[in-house]
Amino acid sequence: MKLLKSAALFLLPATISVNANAEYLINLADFPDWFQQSMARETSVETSGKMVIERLNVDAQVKGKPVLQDSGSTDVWYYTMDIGSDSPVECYAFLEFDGAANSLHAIVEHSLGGAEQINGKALSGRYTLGLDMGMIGDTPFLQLDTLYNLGEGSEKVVGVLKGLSAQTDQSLQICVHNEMGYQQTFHNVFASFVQAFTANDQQPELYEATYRMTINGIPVGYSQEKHTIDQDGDIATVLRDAMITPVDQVAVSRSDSQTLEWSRPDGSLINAQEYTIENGQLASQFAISSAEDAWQVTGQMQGKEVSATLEYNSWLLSSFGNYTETALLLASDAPSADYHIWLSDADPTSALPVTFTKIDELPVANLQFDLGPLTLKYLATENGSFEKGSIAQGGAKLILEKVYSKGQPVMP
Amino acid sequence: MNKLITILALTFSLNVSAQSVPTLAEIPLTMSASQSGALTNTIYLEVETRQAASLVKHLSNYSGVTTQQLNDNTVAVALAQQPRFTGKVQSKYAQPSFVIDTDEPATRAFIEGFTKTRTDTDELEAITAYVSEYINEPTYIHGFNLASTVATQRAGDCTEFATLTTALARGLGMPARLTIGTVITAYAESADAFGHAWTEVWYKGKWQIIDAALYGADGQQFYYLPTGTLDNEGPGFAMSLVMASSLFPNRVLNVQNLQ
Repeated sequence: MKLLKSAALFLLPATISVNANAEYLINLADFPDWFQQSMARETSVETSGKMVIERLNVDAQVKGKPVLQDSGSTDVWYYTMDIGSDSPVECYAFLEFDGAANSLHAIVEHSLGGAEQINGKALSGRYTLGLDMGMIGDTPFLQLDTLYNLGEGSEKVVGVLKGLSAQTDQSLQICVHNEMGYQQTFHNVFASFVQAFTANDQQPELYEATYRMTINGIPVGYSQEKHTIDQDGDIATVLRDAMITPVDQVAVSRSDSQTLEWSRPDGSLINAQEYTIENGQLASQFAISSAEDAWQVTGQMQGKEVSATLEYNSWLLSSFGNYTETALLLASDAPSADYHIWLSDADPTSALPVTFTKIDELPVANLQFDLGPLTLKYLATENGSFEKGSIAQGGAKLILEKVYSKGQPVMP
Repeated sequence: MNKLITILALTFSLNVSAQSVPTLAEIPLTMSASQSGALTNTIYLEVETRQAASLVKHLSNYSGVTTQQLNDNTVAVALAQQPRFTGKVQSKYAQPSFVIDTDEPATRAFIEGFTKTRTDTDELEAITAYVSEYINEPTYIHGFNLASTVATQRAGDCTEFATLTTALARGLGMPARLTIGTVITAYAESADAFGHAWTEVWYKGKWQIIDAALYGADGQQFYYLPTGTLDNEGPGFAMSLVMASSLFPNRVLNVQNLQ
């Protein structure tokens, strides 16, 4: 790890500004030339090495000569990769984890602690340098870069810790690199590492899609859906959401949630289970199923048990049904369609009425989704798939945009 | 996709209402060109909102605030620093709930901590000061925590301060409700506006605002513009937050002293 020492970093709090149209939350142009030059460094990684993890079905060449280190756990694989810079890239594969957002933040915290130990200096300042979301093939990733100071006074030094995180089918991959610059180099090594875990993934999905979320132009996370037909002809849906939201110059809020949902080909819900982890804590966990002609909900929120029988006992629209019913609405003469949905994040004890209405605001939107006072205008294709939508509230604007899809949300 | 939309919308609402993302919760504010010097007790402002008629209706439940709808998206508002809710005291405002869980051990212990250390100072001031000091890890990372969670973690932003304040007031026998809205902070020559949460407590025969989150905060004056309350204090409380934040201003314009 290379730390640069400079009095210029005393100026950090005064020079930080939000750069709304870039991944960096700090305006690098405000920094001295030496800093900008360090941040612009790149190198070409020509070396590679074999990485084999039998339990995860991994057997691949990975950039940067991976060297397996002792992780202290049989469920964690920890590699260092020499990329020709002063510090190696460090990569982890986890079998048990909180999620792409929470776990990335935890590793960043762990690495900052390591930097303190190695340098014998306490963390004296930190700033969220950059956030981003992107795709490696069909796998979404999150990025969290941190600018930090160690030590005080004339001994103060500055470092940049880059972090990337991606959840694949069986495990979670996180890489960090504690050195200024080498952004693209680091990304390339991370991509190579992640691809080692997806190379043998041959799960056939009927439809999968990933959506990028931005708030006021800041990329804060993603939502991923995978819909698969089971042997009975029902649809198994896995939904994963991961968000890292900046809350001030230093702190970020982390949220990961996962839903496993089963629905019928007509778009009606059979049952669902879901959980959400926020800031390292299990925030909620719910399951819904039908029994004795009623919807039963069990679970907990912030450790408090919740159990309810929904007053509504009829057809609930599933995530997959959302696509099929949207396609039907767009193909019909009807101006709108009404449904009930179950959304534990909104109210685990109720089925909520929602309305989809055709609107003519092309090319921006052709549908409007209303849930209580909530209105989202969005663009859907004729097969019902969501392309792009936005919500504005207060001084903020949220945009959802599909960045990847494979297949069609249509039963064969 | 419906889950995606709703998760984001709810997160969005929570973030905005909770002031948990200060940069994102900030509501653009423009001072009137004719305004010079500090703002005084009652101000004039124009609120640009997507639901002007609903905002006018909501604010009709308050004294100290008068409104006039200028067009579909704009409401002219005359606003005292602390508009007063004029609604009835409902029994639910005094009872434990899923969110304001004064019956949970952690919340009870927190309330007992206050009763053991209370002083002879003004009771509302003492409540505010106690909660302000009790939450010793102010952080914006939380969305919305239950009172017992806040009592345990002693961390949070304005919604956590308001939740715990509401619980303490109820624990002391005072009806109280959690309110969501916008706070305008006035400085010597400027002002800003944020999504915010506070507590309205029934005390000495009238509803009064107490705000532990801004207790001792910088700023010459604070003006509270309520847009909703946590009407549903059950596990579905998030929808109440969505309702409240749906009336948030997009922009606050033409801020000046009331002529």
